[in-house]
Amino acid sequence: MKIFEKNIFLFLLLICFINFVSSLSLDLSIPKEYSEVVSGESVYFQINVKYPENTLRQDLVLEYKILDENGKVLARLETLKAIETQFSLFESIVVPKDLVPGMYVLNVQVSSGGILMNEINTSFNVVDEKESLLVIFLIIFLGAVIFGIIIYLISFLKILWNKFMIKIKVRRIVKKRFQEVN
Amino acid sequence: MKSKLVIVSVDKLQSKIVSTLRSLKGIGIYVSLNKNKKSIENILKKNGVNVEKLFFIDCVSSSGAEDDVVQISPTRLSDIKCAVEAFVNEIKGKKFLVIDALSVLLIYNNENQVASFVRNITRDASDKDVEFIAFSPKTKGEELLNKIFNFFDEVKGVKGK
Repeated sequence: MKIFEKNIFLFLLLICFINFVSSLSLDLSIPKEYSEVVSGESVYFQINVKYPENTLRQDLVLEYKILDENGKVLARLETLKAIETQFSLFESIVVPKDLVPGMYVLNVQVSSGGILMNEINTSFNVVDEKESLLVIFLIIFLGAVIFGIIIYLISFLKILWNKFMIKIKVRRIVKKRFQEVN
Repeated sequence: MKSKLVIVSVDKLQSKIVSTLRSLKGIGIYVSLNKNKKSIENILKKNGVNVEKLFFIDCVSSSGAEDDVVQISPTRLSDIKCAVEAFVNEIKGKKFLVIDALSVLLIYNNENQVASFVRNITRDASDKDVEFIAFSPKTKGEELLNKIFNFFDEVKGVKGK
């Protein structure tokens, strides 16, 4: 009991700190089209920060890191944002050029006044540039094939339409002539 | 019904066409490849051919303004065939088909395309009891004529035939 009384201030501070940390929620997502990136390009991500208990404008430091599977920091970017109750950001960080293809972790930490308020991780894939070029080539090839098929279908339909119109005209000419004769 | 290929010199071509048309009975389909409908109609009228019994497929004009004639580019052999078929189907009774002049098609199409066109036309004419007469000047398309001789029941105007 004595220990509690002596450290009551410390307990209260700890409770305040727990409340302070847990009240800021952080959400991180990488759009599907950026879940695979080539090294040297940027990975784009969406951050949603909600801080409903905050009533005053407050500066937050957002730190973005790319980590390998061992937790080694490969790239780092820091930015300062002001918040009242919530904000959404669409940010990017450049993936280092020399990264080997594979899974990497994107880590986002939010801190204020040197105190870490929340952090979140998500993963993304670094792919080989050749693989990416192959995908682009395949897309272009498929596009060209589909375009060719459409052009062929249009020309085929045009031929059918011309023949149909010829038949209609012939029918009209013959009918008219026989009506004139009769 | 018979199919006939008539090969004559250029100067006698028109008179041969006129005399042939005079002798033919029934309703005719006239595919004109070297004169427009008005010109050929005038020539035929002057020479006493009853143009009222003729339906024209004009492969020279392309205005599309005239209602009583089908105008088709000579490059579109399948459309010409389609128009011939349509006339054959629409006209009841005895009928004949005249192509003037076959070798003109060679200006716009290659020999094999023209040969294939002629083969289809002769076959369809035979199937549907249509008398088919194709005219060609002597001077043009010797190679083509060699290729299409066999498709006709009769060939007139060539030595050795």
